[in-house]
Amino acid sequence: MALEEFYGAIGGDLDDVRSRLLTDERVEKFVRAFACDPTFAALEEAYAAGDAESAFRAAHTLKGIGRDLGFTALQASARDLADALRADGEGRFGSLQAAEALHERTRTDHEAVMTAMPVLDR
Amino acid sequence: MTDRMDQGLRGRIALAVVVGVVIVAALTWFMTTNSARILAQNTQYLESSTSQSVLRINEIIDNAEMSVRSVAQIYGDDLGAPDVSTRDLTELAADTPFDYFLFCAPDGTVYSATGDARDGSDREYYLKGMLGRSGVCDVELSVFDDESILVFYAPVRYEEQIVGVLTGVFTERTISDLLTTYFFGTQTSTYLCGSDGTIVGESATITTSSRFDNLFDLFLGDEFHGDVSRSQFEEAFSSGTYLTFTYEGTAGTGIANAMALQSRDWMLVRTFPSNITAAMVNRANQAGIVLALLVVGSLLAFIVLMLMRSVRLRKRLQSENKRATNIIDASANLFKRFVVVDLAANTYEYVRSDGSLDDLPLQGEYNMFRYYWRNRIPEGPDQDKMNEAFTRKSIVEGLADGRSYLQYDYRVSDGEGGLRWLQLSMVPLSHDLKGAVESVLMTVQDVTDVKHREIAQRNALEDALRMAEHASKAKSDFLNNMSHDIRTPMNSIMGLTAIAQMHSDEPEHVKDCLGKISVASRHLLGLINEVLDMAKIESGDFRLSEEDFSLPETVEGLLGIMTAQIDAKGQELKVEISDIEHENVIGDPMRLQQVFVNIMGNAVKFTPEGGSIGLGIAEMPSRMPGYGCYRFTFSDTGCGMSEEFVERIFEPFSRANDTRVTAVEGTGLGMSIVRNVVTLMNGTIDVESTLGEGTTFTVTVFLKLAEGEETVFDDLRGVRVLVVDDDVEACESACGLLDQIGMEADFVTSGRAAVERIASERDRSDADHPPYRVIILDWRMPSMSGLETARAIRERLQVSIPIIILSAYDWSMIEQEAREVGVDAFISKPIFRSRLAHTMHNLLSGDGEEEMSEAELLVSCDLAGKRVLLVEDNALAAGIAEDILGATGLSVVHAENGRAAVDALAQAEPDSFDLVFMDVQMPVMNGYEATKAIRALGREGREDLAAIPIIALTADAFTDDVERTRAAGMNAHMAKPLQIPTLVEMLNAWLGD
Repeated sequence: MALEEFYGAIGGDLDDVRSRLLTDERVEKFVRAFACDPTFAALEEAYAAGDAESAFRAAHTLKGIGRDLGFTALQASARDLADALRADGEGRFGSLQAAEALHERTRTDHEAVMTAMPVLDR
Repeated sequence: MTDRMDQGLRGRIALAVVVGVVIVAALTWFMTTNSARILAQNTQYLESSTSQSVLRINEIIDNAEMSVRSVAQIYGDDLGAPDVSTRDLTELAADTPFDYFLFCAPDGTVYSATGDARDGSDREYYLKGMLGRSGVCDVELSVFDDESILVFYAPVRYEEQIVGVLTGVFTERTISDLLTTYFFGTQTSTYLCGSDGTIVGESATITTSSRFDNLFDLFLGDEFHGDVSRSQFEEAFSSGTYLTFTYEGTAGTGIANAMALQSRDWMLVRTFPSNITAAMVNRANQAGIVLALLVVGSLLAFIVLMLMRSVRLRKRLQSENKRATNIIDASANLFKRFVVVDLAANTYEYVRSDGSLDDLPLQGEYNMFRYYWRNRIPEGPDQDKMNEAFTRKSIVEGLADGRSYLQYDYRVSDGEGGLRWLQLSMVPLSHDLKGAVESVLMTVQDVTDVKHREIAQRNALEDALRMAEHASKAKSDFLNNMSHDIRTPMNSIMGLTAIAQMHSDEPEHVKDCLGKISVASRHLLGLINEVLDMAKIESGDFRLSEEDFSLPETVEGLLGIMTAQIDAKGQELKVEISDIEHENVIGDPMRLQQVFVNIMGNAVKFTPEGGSIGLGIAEMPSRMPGYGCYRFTFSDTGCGMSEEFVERIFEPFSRANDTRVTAVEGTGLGMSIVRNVVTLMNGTIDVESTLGEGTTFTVTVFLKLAEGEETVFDDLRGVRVLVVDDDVEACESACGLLDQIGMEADFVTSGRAAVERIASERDRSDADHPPYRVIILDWRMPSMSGLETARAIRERLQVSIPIIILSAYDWSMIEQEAREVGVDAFISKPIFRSRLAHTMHNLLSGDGEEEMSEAELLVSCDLAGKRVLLVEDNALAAGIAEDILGATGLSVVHAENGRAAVDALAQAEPDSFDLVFMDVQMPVMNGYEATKAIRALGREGREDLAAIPIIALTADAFTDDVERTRAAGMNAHMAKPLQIPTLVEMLNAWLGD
């Protein structure tokens, strides 16, 4: 129940997650664990530090997590961000500034997830 | 033979008859002599009897005479008066032998005792008595009784005066009594007769029709036919001589004799009764007859026996004969004719003939036989041979030393212009004293068919020999040619190598040489491959493999090879690809490529510079379900081929003998190989060519369509399969393949075990232990074959899950039976994964069974005991992955980044990890670097690390990334996020048993 609400709130794909994690227990466990996940923090740090490579990696990881947990919006925005920051053929990473809009979106989606967390406790 | 027998029999019968006749004659003689003897005997007896009687009667008469005299005397002495009283007569008669007395007075009157008186003055006794004489006389008719009496008279004297005559009388009766005699109990006839034959008294049994007074008349009459004449009678009687004679009595020959009484005139005639004689004769005869009869009877019996025996013998002979005839008749089916030839007698006789010899009599002189047959055999070696064979000398020599038969084959005209083969067999029948053959049995058999077959066989053998020689020659020619063709490039290579060595410090030169060497060696390799391929084809080992491949790829490869050559010759290439609906097919891409290269290569070879080469590929509508029909067209504007060569083009070693062609190299095998490959692909190849204008090859092949892009089917994931094969290795390899497809395979090594396993699995099946859904049975298994197992499963277990039969052999023969038992599909060994997958999918896809849930999928993996290294920098993702992986039973070790992973692996014991899931994007050391490092460790001694499966987890699936993963040494990649079916498949593929 709570999970449905949570996913409904964030616009995530619970069924997808369920199909992979199989039990709701696990889903909830991992969703909660997301709260402690350092990736987003790492992204913010990288951005602050101007480290495009780290930012890319973080965005990439975030995308993965988003996919794993069915956080559809977050996954999409993280993906776009990662794409924007990806290194080109010569190894130059994308411009953080240019990807700022995407960064914003990522942040928004991440926050949405975080704010929805208390639903699980109901 | 029967004749001889008959003769013997006749002889014996004749003998018996003769003996019989002799006996009868003897008997007759015996009987006659018997008669005579008995007659003689009886005559003697009669005589003695008669003489005795004569004596007696003499005595009686003497006594009577004396008696009458003495009585007369006494009476006379007694007389007181000269008168005799008749009363006294009775008294007087009392003690006398007389019946009564009569007294004759002197006047002639006869007085009886009763006083009767009769005149008897004429009586002899009166007259004689009165004269004083005494005696006896017979009186035919007595005065008183008219009887025939005997009178004894004596004068009675009274004082010396005869006063009368006393007569004593024997009556007829008395006389008869006196005369009565019995012979052997039978009364005989006795007559007392006077010297003139008058019957004085008789005791006769002879009955006569009339009364005879005279014996002569009696016996000479018609009734008695005495064999004595009257004169003899008269003489005998008058002289008183003894007379004996026979007469025919009532019963037979009677004997009579007459004997004179002493000093009297009387004769005593007595007969031996004919019936006694006859009876005696009969008795004697009877004895003789009986004896004779016995003898004759036994002779007859003997004759009859002989006859019967002969009849029986004859019958037996007949039946034997018949049997022999039957045997001969039966053999007539094989042997047309039987002839018995007597060489000594120079005769022949057909014991059996099929009636086909009109001109030749069934028996006759042997020379005729030979002449006839000589003419039937057409002139030539056969005739000469048979001429010789029929001679006695040849036969005797041929059958000498105990040889059991001779055989000759020869031809004979059949009367309709044709020839038939006959086989003559000669068998010896009898030998003469020296052991040489004397007679033979010849039989003839029509062996035309056999002979023709023989001849045909010989011809066939000769043909085969010729063909073999031809092939052998072709091979030798080929080898000769080949050796040149192979040596040439070889020589080039060697030469070029030498040159390169000589100019080893001139890089350009060396490079040039190496280039040429490369070309030459490729060329050489091509030749060698062709030869080897041909050898394989010839020995039947040539097989196509079954792989999934993409037609466009293959065609691209072909063009890749050919473009260089085409460009080099300045030729134009036109490619036309009509819509190919099914690009992915299953077949042997290499061989297909070979076909294409061969044909196109020839096109290029035989087309001059500036010509054009065309390639067309089209997919035709295919009538074979599951197969695509593809047509490849290769055209060129080359020199073309003659019609005659087109016919030969696919024969091995054939190359057009043409100056233009011989300049072109090649083994001549290419086309042959092409044709074989195309045929194996169920295809056809056509050639159209015009000399001087160009050639078009059209290759049509049927290729099995590959379904979809993946050979892995979702609905096969985790499906439980039971593999049954007595060969453990085969089981394991099959199970391996099945695992690669994603199925869950178990195996047992016998049909029996399979039945038990299925039964037990079915019984305990539930959500955690799904039952088997497919069964694969090996065909040939000891004790319980695949078919029997299938039958058991279907019938005993009533299980309807699909059954696949696996066989290394041709199962077309068992297919019918197998399908009846309930087998659903067949796969031949060796199994190809795609084939197996397709078969499985085909079998199971129509089932509509519910797919296993993913949870079940994971659980069904059952990878307990396996250790996996998960290299992922994000804890959350790692956690998720660990959980998911853990559901399969795996134990998961987490490494945060590439560095940690490498360390973990390096520090762990070899083989302690079975698989590595490697995230690609990681800090410190990413996935590629880590993999390279791990593989480097593998090369440096950790062999397990060289082989350990490393699966990349990529968030992106760009082909570049895939390339990089491969390049780094990773084995596979999986896209994130983890999809459980894919994961399960991957796990099964890399970790499954």
